Amino acid sequence: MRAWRWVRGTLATLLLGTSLTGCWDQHPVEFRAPVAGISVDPTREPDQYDFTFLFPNVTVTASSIATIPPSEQFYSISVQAPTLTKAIDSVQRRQSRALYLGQIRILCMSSRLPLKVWTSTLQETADSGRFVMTFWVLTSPDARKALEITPPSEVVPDVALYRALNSRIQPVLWPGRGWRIWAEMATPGISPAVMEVHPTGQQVALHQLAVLSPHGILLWSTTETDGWAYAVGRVQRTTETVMVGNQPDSVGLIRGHAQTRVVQTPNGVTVQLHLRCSGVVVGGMMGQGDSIAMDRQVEKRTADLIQQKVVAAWHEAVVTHTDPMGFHRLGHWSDANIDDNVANWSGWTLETQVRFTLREEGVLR
Amino acid sequence: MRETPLNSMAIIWIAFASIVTDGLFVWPLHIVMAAGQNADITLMLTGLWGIAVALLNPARENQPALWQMIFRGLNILGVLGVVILDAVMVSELSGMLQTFYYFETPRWVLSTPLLVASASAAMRRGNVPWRVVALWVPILAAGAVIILGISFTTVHHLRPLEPNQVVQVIPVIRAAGVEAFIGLSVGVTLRMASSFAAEPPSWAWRLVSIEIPILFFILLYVVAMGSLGPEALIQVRWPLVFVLDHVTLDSTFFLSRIGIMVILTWTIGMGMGFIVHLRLTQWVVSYRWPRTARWTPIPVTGWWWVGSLLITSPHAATQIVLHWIDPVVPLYLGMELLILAASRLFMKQPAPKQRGTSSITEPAGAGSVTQRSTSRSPTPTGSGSGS
Repeated sequence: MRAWRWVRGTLATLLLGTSLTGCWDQHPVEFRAPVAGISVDPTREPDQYDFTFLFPNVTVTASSIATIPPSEQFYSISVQAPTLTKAIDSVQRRQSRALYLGQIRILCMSSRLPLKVWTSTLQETADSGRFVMTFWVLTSPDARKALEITPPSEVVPDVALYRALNSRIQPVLWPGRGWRIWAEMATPGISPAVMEVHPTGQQVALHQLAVLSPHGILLWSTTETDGWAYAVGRVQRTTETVMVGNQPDSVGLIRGHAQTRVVQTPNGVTVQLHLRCSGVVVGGMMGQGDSIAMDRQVEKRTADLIQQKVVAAWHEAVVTHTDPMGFHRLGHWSDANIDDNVANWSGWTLETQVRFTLREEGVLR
Repeated sequence: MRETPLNSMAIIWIAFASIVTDGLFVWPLHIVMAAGQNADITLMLTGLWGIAVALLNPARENQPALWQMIFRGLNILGVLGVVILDAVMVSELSGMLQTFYYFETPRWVLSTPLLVASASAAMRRGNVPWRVVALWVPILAAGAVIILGISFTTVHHLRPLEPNQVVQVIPVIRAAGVEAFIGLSVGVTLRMASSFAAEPPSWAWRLVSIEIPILFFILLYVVAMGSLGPEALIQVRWPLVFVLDHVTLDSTFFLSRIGIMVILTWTIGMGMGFIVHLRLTQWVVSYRWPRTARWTPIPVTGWWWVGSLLITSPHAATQIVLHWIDPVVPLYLGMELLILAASRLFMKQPAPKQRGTSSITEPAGAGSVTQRSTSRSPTPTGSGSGS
């Protein structure tokens, strides 16, 4: 009986030991090439695209990071292929290490690419099971250039754009998380939107929303982008300047919450948007006294400004037949009779109500 | 050595492991495919069915001979269904592990250690397997609650969580049919687990035993539907894995991805459920062959192993659930509910004296046979242990 137990225990240990360690999928880290980012650009040929894979240079060690220039901390491999899957295959043929796709930070798509390439690329990442779709999707006229920018402040394996979008330091919670963009592409009634990257020198800047539409990638102005952010309640610490009397006043640390209802009315469809925002006076009111009336004026002016921006975003959506706010999606979910076609804005009206309150007094007063 | 009998809290965890194991695959996708945003009505309806079964279940098996025979027949059918369903679930689990985590590892390698561990745990004598389940399931449940709590950060769509304005009955019923396979293990688990308890669990305990899995399923639904919405949800084959895989905590100090936590909880949790199901088979086999019942896990896990290999892909496994298991199961579930209702109406309550003997605190020392163990099988309860 004892011997049998011993044999059984040994067999179980061996079995668990050999199989649970996942020998089949075992790749030591020195044999792996983790992909940090992928960019996709068009080529002269119609169904061929330029895929660039960015890799952190794993030969850089902690002790040598200080001495190695940023340009050598990452390296990239570019291939031409019709699809992402073919590109992965092609890059693997040029790479001595096993490609690892679970740590991708950035997928940068050129704004010159047609929508079908965006859709098919995102779909391939979702279908494969090897991508973890927590990467951020971005766009730029020259995607490869945007991908390869490494500001001096960043060292391997951090990717500057990922860090900028991921940590909640931006004035607005920007859109573009891979799996959410994929879900928006799969859902009628919303036009997926990502951020456009402006590479300037060795820096990157995020200002403008790029809305995906069947007619191409449409860039929204900064005012419209702000309006979009207010309308979807993604503002977390933005700043506005308003004129009170003849004096410009700055209101900062603005955060907001949006409550949206889409209802069918006899005249069409009405979007009821209630915005509740708050902020802090951060400058410009020196020497104007400390009156409650002044605070109320600042609040009113700021609320008006926010409303103007939201209306600007609404008009842009109507004119371009897009809906990055997802009003059509919400409408269709609330009432199946409301059309989920984002191009159809006929009969739609917007009712906004903006309430802005000053949270604190600031340091100067 | 004397064993402490199971208390009602252990019953709750045993029922949780057993029910949830069969309810982690297939349904979130297919009930939304069938009922759209009204899937939540389906969830509520099936939840009510579960509560009815839990409340109607007899506390003990010491019934008159006719009813005992009827319940045994019902249990045999139920366990047979669970054993068939588990082979499909093993296939789904290994397919999921292969799709997302171990791309190059063969599926049989992924299922073998889990099945060996489950079988060896289930074959331990006495209350040892129950203790394992009662220890680990609350820990895993706490892990699952943490995971789901974190996942709520991705829930952005509240509107699809409400029922649609137009409620169509046929799709809701069809979606309830999709969920039928989860119901197989409910009644039989509660009957068996409560027959092993020191005290017959009161109706309140039975209610809690079923409400915890129902709440868990509701949370899973909220996370999947609230994160993806009804249109995107039906386009992924593994909506729950998809959503849980993409939860990140990059802004926190050291925990960025919870995927490894998900997969550990998921796999070990299913192992716990398999242990309970193996005990179910021991229980029904012991009706006829009490001495050999202990070895039942070997052929059963063997069947799971072979069955899961014969099912070529997770997609095929899902098709088996939807087209073969789901059409048959409602017959069993309907019959079970009728029998339970009839037993409440027509079965004479056991005499108070018998009840008194059933609350003995020590089930069995070596060789001792009590009133309780003569009415049931001695083997799975552990009488005769310690020899």
